[in-house]
Amino acid sequence: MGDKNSIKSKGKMEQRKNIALMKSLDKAKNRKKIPKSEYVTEMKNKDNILEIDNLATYFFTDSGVVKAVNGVSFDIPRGKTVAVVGESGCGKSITSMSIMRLIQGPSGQIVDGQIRYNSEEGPINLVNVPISKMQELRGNKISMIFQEPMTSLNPVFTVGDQIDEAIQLHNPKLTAKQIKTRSIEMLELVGIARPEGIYDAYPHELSGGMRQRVMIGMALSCEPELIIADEPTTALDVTIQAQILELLREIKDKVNASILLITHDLGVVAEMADYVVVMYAGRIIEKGTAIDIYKNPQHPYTIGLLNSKPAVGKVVDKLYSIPGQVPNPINMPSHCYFKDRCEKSFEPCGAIYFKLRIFANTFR
Amino acid sequence: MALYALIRAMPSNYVKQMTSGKPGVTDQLIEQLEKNYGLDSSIPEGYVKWAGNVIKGDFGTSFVYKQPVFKVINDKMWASFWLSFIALILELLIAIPLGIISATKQYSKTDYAITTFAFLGISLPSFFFAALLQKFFAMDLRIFPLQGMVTAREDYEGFRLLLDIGWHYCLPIIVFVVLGVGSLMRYTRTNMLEVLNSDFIRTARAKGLSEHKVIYKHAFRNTLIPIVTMVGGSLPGLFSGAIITEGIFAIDGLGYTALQALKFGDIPFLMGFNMFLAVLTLIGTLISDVLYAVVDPRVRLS
Amino acid sequence: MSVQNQTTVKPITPGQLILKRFLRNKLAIAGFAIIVGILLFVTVGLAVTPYGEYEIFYSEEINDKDVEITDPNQSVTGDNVEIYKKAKPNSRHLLGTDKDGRDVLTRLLHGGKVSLFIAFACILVELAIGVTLGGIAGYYGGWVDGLIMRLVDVINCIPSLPVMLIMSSIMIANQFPQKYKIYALIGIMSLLGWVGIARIVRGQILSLREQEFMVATEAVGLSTPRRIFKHLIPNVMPQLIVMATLGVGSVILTESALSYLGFGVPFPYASWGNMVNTVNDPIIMKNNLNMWVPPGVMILLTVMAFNFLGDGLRDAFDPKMKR
Repeated sequence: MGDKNSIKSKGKMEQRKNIALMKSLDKAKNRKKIPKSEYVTEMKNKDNILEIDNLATYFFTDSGVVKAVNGVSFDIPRGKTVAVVGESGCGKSITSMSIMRLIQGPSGQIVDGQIRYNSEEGPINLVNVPISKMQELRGNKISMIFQEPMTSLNPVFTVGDQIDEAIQLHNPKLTAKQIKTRSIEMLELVGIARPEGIYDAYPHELSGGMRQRVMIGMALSCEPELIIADEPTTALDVTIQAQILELLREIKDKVNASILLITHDLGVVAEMADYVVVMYAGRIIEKGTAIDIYKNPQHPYTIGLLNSKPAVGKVVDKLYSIPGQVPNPINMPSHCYFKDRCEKSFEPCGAIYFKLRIFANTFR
Repeated sequence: MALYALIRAMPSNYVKQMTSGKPGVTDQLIEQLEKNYGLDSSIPEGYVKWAGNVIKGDFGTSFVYKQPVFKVINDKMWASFWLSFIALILELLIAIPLGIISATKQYSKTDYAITTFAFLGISLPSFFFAALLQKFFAMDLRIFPLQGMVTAREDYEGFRLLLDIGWHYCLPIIVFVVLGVGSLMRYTRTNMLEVLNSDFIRTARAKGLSEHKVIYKHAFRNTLIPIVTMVGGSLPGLFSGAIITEGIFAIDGLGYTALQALKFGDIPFLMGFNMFLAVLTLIGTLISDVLYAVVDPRVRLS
Repeated sequence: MSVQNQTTVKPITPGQLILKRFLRNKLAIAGFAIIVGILLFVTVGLAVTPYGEYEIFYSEEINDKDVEITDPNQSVTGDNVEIYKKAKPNSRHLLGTDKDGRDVLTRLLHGGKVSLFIAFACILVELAIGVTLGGIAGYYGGWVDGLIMRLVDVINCIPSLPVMLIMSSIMIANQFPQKYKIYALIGIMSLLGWVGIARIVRGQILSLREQEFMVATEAVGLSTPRRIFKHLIPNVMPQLIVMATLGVGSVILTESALSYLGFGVPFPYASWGNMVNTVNDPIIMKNNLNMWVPPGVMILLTVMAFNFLGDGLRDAFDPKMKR
């Protein structure tokens, strides 16, 4: 009896400590003046545009702490495309939102880690940067494309207005005419026919595919260095998907920006990515070049993922799927998360989670 | 029609009231008067007759005021309208900003304070608050007049008349505003919260817009839509007046008149008044629909 | 600072989650506390007070001042004896007496009992009618639904205040027994008020009916009443609770307005509304605050408390609440 009570009260104490932590993080984030020393930093490799180092983003809820991202590290080199794959709920979107500092406080906080961005004025750590600086970067040097084109545009403003707004915000010296010209250029760039007409249209007058093109146009309008695409094709049907992907490929070549592509569709990854990062339940399971991952997957989860994709032309009796479910993110055990579902698990898997083993220089 | 039946069922019909105090009135006289006022026919018959008149545009003559019902309504409704209209403007000016602040600072002390004030307004019984105001402002402090629309025994003209009426209107307007601000503010707050959680706000932030712009340009415009349609829809209702408050302040508006009519069983007036209310509601719905199309581009037909 | 790892693996039930959210809302707790306070005040007060609801007190004029007759043996009629009207608050009558010589505090307590009783009863009846009719309309649809909705529309068109005034005056004229007037009042208010509840219930059921879990219950073979009661209704409960709570406040306001106008609870029974009615006399308004301010304040507090409670419940039940 006493044991149960002590667990309960211990749980309450933990909860209270967590709430205190959340509040202090929130306060630190919202300070008016954050000294430069706190966010100026050094890149490990000058060729990288972004280096994520041991990122941890938690959500402090009534039911407990959700460790959505729990120790994620990877690099995005300039001009390359990095794909992050994983099941729904593994933390890929949260990672991208953390980069943009769009995590909704006070319950969501970046608790640990660094996100080093190689900006023009020198490398800075995005985790500590004041929001005002972040707002300069957003839509400008780092832009984002979201998953649901149907609802991501403001219904009461025209499409042209919304693209203008992005341009005007980061280029205050341009005249209205110049801005409009540029917007129409962007609409053309993303493959919209009759851009002048669409410029005056409202979002609800456009189809899903067209809205997503508009979103992409908006994201490209200020010549970003890094484009984050969060499942840009998931909400569209397959034919439109192909078109949008084709568009992204063209853009990639034209624009020379890095792309962080988040998806759960392995086919897309195979077509577009230079590097692949596999996530599961908030951690990285495996990462490496696309070729390495596809030809020579090491972690059982990755192997499972690749096997799950039905291959055209191959006849099987039963479609393969990884048994079990993603664990509850609230009470993560401290050993390998995949243990209970793994076909290849053996004794050492029950031990405390070990650091990633290095297979090759680029293949972890 | 149900209304008509009810009123007819009212036992103290007009004639009886009028004649109750007078001695020496014969039964015959009562019968004669009843005939004149159309009270001698049975209930359904009476209704048919009335409806027939209405179609011809004749609303009948009010018992109490001895004038055509139409004219009576027309005369009195303006007083009610101005009262409600000014109150509405004030309510909007106060409620919308407060609602926005309350939503953006959800659960902060400011939010709690504003919410408490809003609930205070909603929970006040109008007559009680009116009485309090009368006591403190009219009796004790003597800033505002106690009752009435114009100061009696003074015959102001033109602009002075306007000022005088305005001065008399102050207390009733305060009553309306305090009672009405609450619900409007909560409504704004709820809508604002919903809008702030939508995807396009996330996009706006991702574009790098300052929080200020996000709230006051993007979110606000969307929140306005339901508010504008609601306000537009309630415009016609402003003509109908508030029965209790007008009574306390003895403002000669439509509400007060309606109360008198009820007390005396003034059937033509009440029937006319009811039609009036129904028409107002219809117009209100119409305005609301039209405004919706004006403000929300999604609703416009191409 | 590191994040503490949860050692307990117990999941939280939705009920507990709602409770937690509710308790975070300080206003809601305040509302709940006020309601409990008022209920206690009324019940304990009524048990304790030595005075009757409409007991009239007499005073004797001694030396040109009204002094209350406290000796029950003294004769009630006498030269200097008259009704102890409009007394200021004193030690024997904490809130003084009203214009007919009745103790204000006791009437306040009785008024509370009556107003609260009317409000609760009214809401209960409205719920009963509304849930039943709304449920039937939503569940069976078709012409049943159409019929019930027509009824709802008609009742909506009836202007409530005038109708209640009329019914009231009919009752007065026909000399309806005073005692039953209260029940009649409840009846009329509920008959006009159930439509709101019915609409919400119907809407909820219409949307829930098509959801997959209902199809599942059908597939499992549950009987119709069982499906309605065990599955549909619990999903409608949160909204109902919120509506009921907010409704109590609204009924109290309506009843007090009616009583104030003289069409509600009749004399000599006390209701908060008809106690405020005394303010119509300008002299009383100016001098005898003790007569009309307390009942008004009670109305305000009670309605506010119910509003806070209802609003807090609504926030607690809403699964999309951010914090």
